[in-house]
Amino acid sequence: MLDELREAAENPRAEVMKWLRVTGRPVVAVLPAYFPEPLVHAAGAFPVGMWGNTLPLGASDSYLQSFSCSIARSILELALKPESDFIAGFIFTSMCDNFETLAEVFKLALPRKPVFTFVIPNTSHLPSRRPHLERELDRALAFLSRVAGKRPSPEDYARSAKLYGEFVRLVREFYRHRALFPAALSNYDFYAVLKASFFMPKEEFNPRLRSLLEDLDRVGGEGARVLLSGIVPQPLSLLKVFDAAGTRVVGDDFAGAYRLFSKEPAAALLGSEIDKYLLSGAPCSTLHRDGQDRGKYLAARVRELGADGFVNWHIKFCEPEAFDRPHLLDELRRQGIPTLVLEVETSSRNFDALRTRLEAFVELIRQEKEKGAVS
Amino acid sequence: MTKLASTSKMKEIMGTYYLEAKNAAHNGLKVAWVTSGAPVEYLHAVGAIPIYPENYAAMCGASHATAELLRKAESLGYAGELCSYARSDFGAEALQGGPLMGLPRPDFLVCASNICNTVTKWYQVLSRHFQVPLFLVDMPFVHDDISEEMVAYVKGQFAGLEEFLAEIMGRPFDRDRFSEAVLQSARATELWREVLEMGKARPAPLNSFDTFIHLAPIVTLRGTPRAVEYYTALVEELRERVSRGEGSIPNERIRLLWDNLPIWYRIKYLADFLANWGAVPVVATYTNSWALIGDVQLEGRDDLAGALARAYLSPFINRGVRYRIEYLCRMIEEFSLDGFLMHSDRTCKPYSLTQLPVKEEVQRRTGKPGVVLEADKVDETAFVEAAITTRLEAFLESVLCRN
Repeated sequence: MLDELREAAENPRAEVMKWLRVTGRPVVAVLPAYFPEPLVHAAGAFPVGMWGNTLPLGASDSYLQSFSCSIARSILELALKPESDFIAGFIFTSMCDNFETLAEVFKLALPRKPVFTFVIPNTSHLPSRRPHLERELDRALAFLSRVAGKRPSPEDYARSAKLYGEFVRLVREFYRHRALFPAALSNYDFYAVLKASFFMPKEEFNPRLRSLLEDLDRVGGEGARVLLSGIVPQPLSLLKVFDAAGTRVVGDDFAGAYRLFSKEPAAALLGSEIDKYLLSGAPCSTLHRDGQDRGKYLAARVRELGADGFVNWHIKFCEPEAFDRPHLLDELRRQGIPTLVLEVETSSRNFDALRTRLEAFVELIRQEKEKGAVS
Repeated sequence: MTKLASTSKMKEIMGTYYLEAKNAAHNGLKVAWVTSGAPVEYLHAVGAIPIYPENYAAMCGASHATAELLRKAESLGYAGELCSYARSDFGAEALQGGPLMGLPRPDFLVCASNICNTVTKWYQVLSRHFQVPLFLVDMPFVHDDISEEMVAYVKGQFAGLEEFLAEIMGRPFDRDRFSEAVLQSARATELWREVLEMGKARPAPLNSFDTFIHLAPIVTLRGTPRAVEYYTALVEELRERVSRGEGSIPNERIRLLWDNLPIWYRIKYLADFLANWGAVPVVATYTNSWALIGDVQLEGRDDLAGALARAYLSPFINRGVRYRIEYLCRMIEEFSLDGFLMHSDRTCKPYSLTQLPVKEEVQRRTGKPGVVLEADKVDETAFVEAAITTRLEAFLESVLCRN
């Protein structure tokens, strides 16, 4: 089971093509972040998460300057390949300037491909959210109807919501198990399993994860327990460095992982339910909430998980994350939590420098623990 | 730079404006920090003084005061790829730096995202730092057309803004003062548009570099009679120049467009460099943004909130590629242009990241050449003189060859 899921994470295209052949459903790419994915499923399409990849950048250079974040660049790079032509449409959200403009660049780079941007309400005026989301839902359904050939009925949606409800329950159980028994799987494998969920229908992923959960050992294990935070755990191979350095990732705060899975799928085809979905779960750098303090939230998560340290996985050049970082680090340090920032690009391959810093961090944590044990 | 009599007057009114803001607390007035695209008419209705950190950042850039501010922001943990206006602001606040030695503390913050999503993050930082209330008006990016739904969404938030302001100021929202402010705004933006349209004259009586300087009042004093007075005088001066056939440079032979923000610390340098070639930018997508507010015919409307919502959704930076391409092509025609300059501001993603394919399409449709100049609006380390001049020279040569 693990091998199959790891294979899916390492060969996304092959995985997607396999399910496309099996189901015959049109593939709709769901880009960052927080588009209510059950809508795509309810429309009879096969939603595939596109959160960046490790392709070397070439063709995308004539469309995007180098200061674009590497997630956006790699997504465009992939979309430009003729082999990606099977993708029926691309769904964006308004989460950041880089992705707002990427949606526009798509219109020039791939003029035949339908593109939709879902506007997430980031406003201080809460009463404005629901009427807006009601209208956005209508727009989204019209788009899906065009691209998937079907406008979902409330009954269609209820079935999809149930499936996705089951999905997030299983994933959260997977996280709970992780926090208790981090030695059961390598860091790399834990995230490979999660990544696989982006490339297969949830009908297929759910039973596989359920089966894996039944087989997992209950092994605690030694090692520095860390909480990871960032936009997305890309490139996946960096997690092998975390394994080699003797860390145990006991939880995360990735927009493309825990923050996404912590949200409760909308229960019905209503703007008010989409609103609840967006407001649920972990706070995110891309979702505005008056008075929100991610620093305090993350410090509390570190304590809950019994983590020894916090690692910020900074992807160049993610703006929302970079604006939040100074405050997060200040607050965590104020609360005596060891912190580390690792900077990568999606196409990064050489992690020697990062490995050295991570090892030093693990050593620091070991010394802190020893001090604590002595006093 | 064109010698305009109005320039000294502008410096005077800007000086008065900042002085009043600095003395606000003394005079029992409240100060709000607001974004450059904020519906400031609402603030004028309640008598709050708006301060624009973006304007201050531009001022710091133009006075070569930014480097120290950016270094400070970096030491506070703000990554170098973030908007240089925001970093400049964080540094200026920490150091109380820049020509005015910092800005007066805000009592509250109003942030409108019609210029970018970055301001949302910037103002979240400010809200945490100053521990003051923030009102965020979500003004979505217009991917296609400005829809009725979008206008309704923004209008609804404006109603919330009224409540927020009434509560903060401790008195009811004054609808008469609001209508008056909208009227003043409409008049000032109409006049500003007239200023910009003068660029169509051959030779142009003022150029885009001049308009970058004379932009300050429409940004910071929009909604007040002072902006109307100022631009009335400027229009008068420019009309006289047009009637005399007096151009911003003596031998205008290459007319250009400037896309994206100014390179604030090299305005004179670029103006002189281009002038030596007889080249001059006569229209800019950036300065037009405040004129587009005037496009919506605010005066005499019943539904002021709806009209303002539509107006503030309109700026160029908030529009999709189809609009940007059509707009550039139209400017090329209306202003009789020979080519276009695109400042690729490395820390302004919403403005810059569509430029490469837009350039290709505009060239294809108009047959006029464009050139991309990589720099930053206020960060001097991003400006490599040799690279810029080489590119510009090659571009200007090719324009002359065509002509």
